[in-house]
Amino acid sequence: MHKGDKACVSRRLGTWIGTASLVLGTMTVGLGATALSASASGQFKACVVTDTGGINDKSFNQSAYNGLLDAAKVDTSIVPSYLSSTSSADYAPNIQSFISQGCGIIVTVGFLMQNDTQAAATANPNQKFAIVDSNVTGSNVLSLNYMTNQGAFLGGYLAAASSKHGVVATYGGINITPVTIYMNGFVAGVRYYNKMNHKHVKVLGWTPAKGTCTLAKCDGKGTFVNSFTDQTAGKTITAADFAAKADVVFPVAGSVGLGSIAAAKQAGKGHSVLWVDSNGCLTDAADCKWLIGTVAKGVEPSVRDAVLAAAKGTFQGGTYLGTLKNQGTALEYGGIMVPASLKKAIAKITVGVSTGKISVNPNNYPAK
Amino acid sequence: MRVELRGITKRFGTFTANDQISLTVEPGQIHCLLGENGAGKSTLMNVLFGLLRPDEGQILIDGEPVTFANSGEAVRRGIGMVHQHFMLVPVFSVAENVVLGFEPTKSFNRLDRLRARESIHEASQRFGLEVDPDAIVEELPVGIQQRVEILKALNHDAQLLILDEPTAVLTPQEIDALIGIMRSLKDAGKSILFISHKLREVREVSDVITVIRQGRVVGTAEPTDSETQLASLMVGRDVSLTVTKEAHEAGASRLEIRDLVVRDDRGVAVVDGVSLDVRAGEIVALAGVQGNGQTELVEALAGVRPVESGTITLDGRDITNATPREILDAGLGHVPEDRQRDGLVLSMSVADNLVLNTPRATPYARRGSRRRSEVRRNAEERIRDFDIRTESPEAPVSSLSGGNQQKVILARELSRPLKVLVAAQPTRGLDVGSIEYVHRQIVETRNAGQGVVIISSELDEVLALGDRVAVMHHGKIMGVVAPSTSRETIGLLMAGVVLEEVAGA
Amino acid sequence: MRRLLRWWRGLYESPVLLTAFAVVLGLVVGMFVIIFTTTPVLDAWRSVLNSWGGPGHALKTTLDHVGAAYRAMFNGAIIDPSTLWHSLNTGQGWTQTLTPLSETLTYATPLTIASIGVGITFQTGLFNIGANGQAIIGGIIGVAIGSSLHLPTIILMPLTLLAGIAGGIITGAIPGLLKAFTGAHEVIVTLMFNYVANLSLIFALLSTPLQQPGQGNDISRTLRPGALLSPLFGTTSGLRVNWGLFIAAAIVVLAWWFLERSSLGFEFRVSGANPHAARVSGINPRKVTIYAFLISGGLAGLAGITQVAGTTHYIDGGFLVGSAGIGFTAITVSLLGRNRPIGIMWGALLFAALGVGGRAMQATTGIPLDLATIIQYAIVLFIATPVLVEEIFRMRARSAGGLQLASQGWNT
Repeated sequence: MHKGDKACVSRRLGTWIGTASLVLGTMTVGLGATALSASASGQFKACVVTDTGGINDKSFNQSAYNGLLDAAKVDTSIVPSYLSSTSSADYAPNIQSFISQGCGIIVTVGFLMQNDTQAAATANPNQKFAIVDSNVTGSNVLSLNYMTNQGAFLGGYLAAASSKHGVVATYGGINITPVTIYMNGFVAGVRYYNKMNHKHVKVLGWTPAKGTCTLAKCDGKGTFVNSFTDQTAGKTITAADFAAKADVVFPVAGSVGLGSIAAAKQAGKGHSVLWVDSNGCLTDAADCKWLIGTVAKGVEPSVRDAVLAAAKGTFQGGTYLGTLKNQGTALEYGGIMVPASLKKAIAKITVGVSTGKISVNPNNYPAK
Repeated sequence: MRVELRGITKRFGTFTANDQISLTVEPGQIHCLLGENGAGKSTLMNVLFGLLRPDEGQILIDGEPVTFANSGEAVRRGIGMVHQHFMLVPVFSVAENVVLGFEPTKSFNRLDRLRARESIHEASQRFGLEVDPDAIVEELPVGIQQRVEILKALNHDAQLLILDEPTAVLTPQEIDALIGIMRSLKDAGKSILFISHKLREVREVSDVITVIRQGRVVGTAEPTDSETQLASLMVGRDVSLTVTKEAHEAGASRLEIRDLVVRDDRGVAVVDGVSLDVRAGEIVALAGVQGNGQTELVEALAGVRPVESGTITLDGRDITNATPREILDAGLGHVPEDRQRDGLVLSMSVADNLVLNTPRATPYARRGSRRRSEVRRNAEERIRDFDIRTESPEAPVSSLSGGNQQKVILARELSRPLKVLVAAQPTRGLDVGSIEYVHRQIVETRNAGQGVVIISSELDEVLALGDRVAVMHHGKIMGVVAPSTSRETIGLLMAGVVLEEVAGA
Repeated sequence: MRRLLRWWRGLYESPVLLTAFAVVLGLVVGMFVIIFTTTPVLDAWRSVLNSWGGPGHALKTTLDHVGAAYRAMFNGAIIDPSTLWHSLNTGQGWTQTLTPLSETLTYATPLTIASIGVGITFQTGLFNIGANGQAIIGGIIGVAIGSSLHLPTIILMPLTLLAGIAGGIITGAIPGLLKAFTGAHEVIVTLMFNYVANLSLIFALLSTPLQQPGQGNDISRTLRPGALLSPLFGTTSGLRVNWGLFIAAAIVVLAWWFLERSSLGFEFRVSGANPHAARVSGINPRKVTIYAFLISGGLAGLAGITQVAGTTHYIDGGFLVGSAGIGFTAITVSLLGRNRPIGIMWGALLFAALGVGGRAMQATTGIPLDLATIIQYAIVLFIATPVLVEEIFRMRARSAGGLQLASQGWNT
């Protein structure tokens, strides 16, 4: 060090201490003042607690938050807010934090939050809750569930009808009911196609167990990547499916499906992906031309409706079951041309499933 | 070429390595820079060679001030340096090494080997530096490698040659040859700056001696001054250079080494059939040029290097391939060659280092729990008994001087019940005062009836301490002789000549 | 370089000062992140030249937002002065007042335990990158015992914790043994075992009796009431801080005693500071390696089961996965605490407070929780990059007599 550094030290140090105290100062000066976005009168706070996937998971967390944003567009008094959880230990304090902030409705997401939501709902009977993909009892809670096997049934039919080689495939993130119920419906759709058209389209990746598939239990054997984020694994599995002559793949694994799109690009024309949850042509427009369609789950509209009802004061607890009929699940077409005749057939099947004339249980059709 | 250093000061933080050093090297002069380790000799030479920038002062060549941004500029101004550790490419030939960086080329950038060989041949003739230009460097003995370094410097047209501790790695014969070369260089008008702390060589070859101590020039001396005078100047007080060693009767055999074979990390059998006995109350000094298997022999004795074949017996107990713990407990004291690497934990306190290999022994621990009061009491005792200069027992051992660090190790080893003490290079890098102290401790250990093995590359030390001198070369014991044997004979043994041939000559 | 190195060593001897600087710098970094990501602040700066009052307005907007964010963090992580005042005056609302502190302590509890485990291997010169996997296995085994056995609390509670420790020990022992006997690099092995643990978790939750009966989801059975680390102020208090706090405190004291006062701990430290000297001094490197991994793994396992028994009472597919992986955070916290138990305790409290405060900030101001993560790692960066801190503060070296650092390679 050179002479004169000492003076320089104290000067610089002074500057920084000044800056620091400025920051700390503002922290204390405003003590007692209301927080910036605290609820003012006439506002309705709508809050969502996400699970560990976070707000940008391109899956149900994001859909639930989008439902809030949609509601805010309709009713401008609604102020959306969210808290993300990094682990299951965060659920309870996050819910508690929103309760103490006076949220008009708290939306929780996923089965893993069932326990904590139930506890909070019981302890705070005047606090309105909605929970996605789960069942919580209480007059102040709306449980949102979706019979996605109905939408997937249509997807299976579409995939089977579009397959040139007569082989389609599916795989899941983890072997849990919200995932397997999709896969089960998909297989049922393929089998229904085979039965009606006397074809022998094969399905890779899921073999349903005996019995009926419900929201609580949907067993079977199949292919799983054991992750909702590992796109490389998705690509590997899909490439293997393509090698086994499959040409349509239905990934039920969140962003892992992007790996399937990558595999389809590599395999070239004639290979396509059936997207899941929310319309892939909207969330990932660049890859739309590789998507034959999306088996959609109506989290966004159902959360929106619940929030709007709560804001209006017409909220009612209980259970909402999303079906093809109330558009809680649906098949949306993608960037690949589907013949008008096939669309017409699928429209007819939609009615059949809605009215209960066509079963979505794969065990009601012969396995080929 | 006349080189003058004027008021050179070099600081590292608060530490002043060189303080206002001035000296002048006249053309055709061998100028010796004498000083203890850590006196600032190497720093000064690095400044002169452009590796360090001085904080104050200037360098003048033939009266003209110069500054060197790097060593390349120093080389261009005619300064050459031979480092302690050679900067040669081992797999290249002598000729290739010599011309490296300044290759004579033919068209298309091809190396002109013929011209490279010619220039070596010419230099060899002129200065008596006999080297085969086509020999591969790694196959040459150390003394010849050093000649290649000198040739390299001369090939860059060096007028001033800096030789940094050139004799540390040489046998006595090689040292004589080097001195011959230095003289012929001088006759050819080259200047030489010769760095050393070995008084004998300094007196033999120098024209002028500048002594530095703690970064300062403390005086100049004549080669005609006595060694004691030089040593006093170097250390700053009167010193005695001889080891007083009364005769002592050797007792029963304590350490028996039989046909020992030990491999180094590359798998070469660097200890190749060594047999040696050490008796109670005697010092066996193992002489030899560095790198002839002494290091690995000590490691095998201490249990940190596996024995390939042969046996080691300590006081009747077989300790071949025993664990270091078993060997320590069996009563082998070990002063490792690299004390900072193997002997101490520098970040830990003096007190902890004093029980480094006995942390679980009574009274330093009881039922797995350390007894710090006992550790501290032990430290206070050792610090007093062995005159360890430290701020406190809790000071990190890194804050101690090299000599005091060595005292910590000696204090630790000598306060255990020992049967044999093995001390490798026990005085390397120590100041003269500490050397005296270490020597006295070693002699007292022997007088107390323990067997002692000393490994040293300093022939003076070997001859002064040893009751018997075993000379090692290429992993073999060339002979075991009395310390009264002539330096020349021991030098021949160190160079690999068999004892019978030496005797016959 | 030498000057910087010595300065760093000097400051290294005063970790409190170093950390304080780093925290201040971390908050400054956070301030800039807020400025550049908050729309009203950006707008204010865009229109700074439009009117005379522009600069003043922009500055005020910035300070309002930054102040609100950091105030929310402080209030959410430690204590909210206004609710404290309210409670003191009325004697009401103590739960709300104490919740922030309770949350911080709740999060710091398992983090402290896991970080001490990692710190012990660091002090031994080994790297346990697998603490997270060890904690996961600890959690699985602990839940397996604690959710199935019908035993009185006095037996079941310790048994559950021991099962967690055992799970961690088993998982830690494998890399330790491989390192000791084959030389397999512990970083690679422990890192890979994290994947094994993650997949074991999914397997245990989906394909074993550990899965909650009647469930298709990746969720385990709930611990029996006797296996829980109950909240200190009772289950109805609403404060989650639990008896695990005392376990963590005991571990801090035990680890301090172990490293500073026990013979084995001494051998650990010698091995870490100078493995060559350790070997020459008769310390068996294999023994030290194996014991270090057993202890570290056991502590990681204990951290895992403490997390379960103290907060969630069950495990699910997201248990210690991703950003919840306390075993990974532990590596950072250990660095922050210089691998010493007391330092680690403070580091864990700081990390927990920033995490908990970050959630409060997100809830009240809408600034994402990620800001807290940015501040956390900015602090670590400033501690690990002392040269940068020096450049900013231009501090003079405090002591020249340098402590020899265990790490090598600074001079090269």
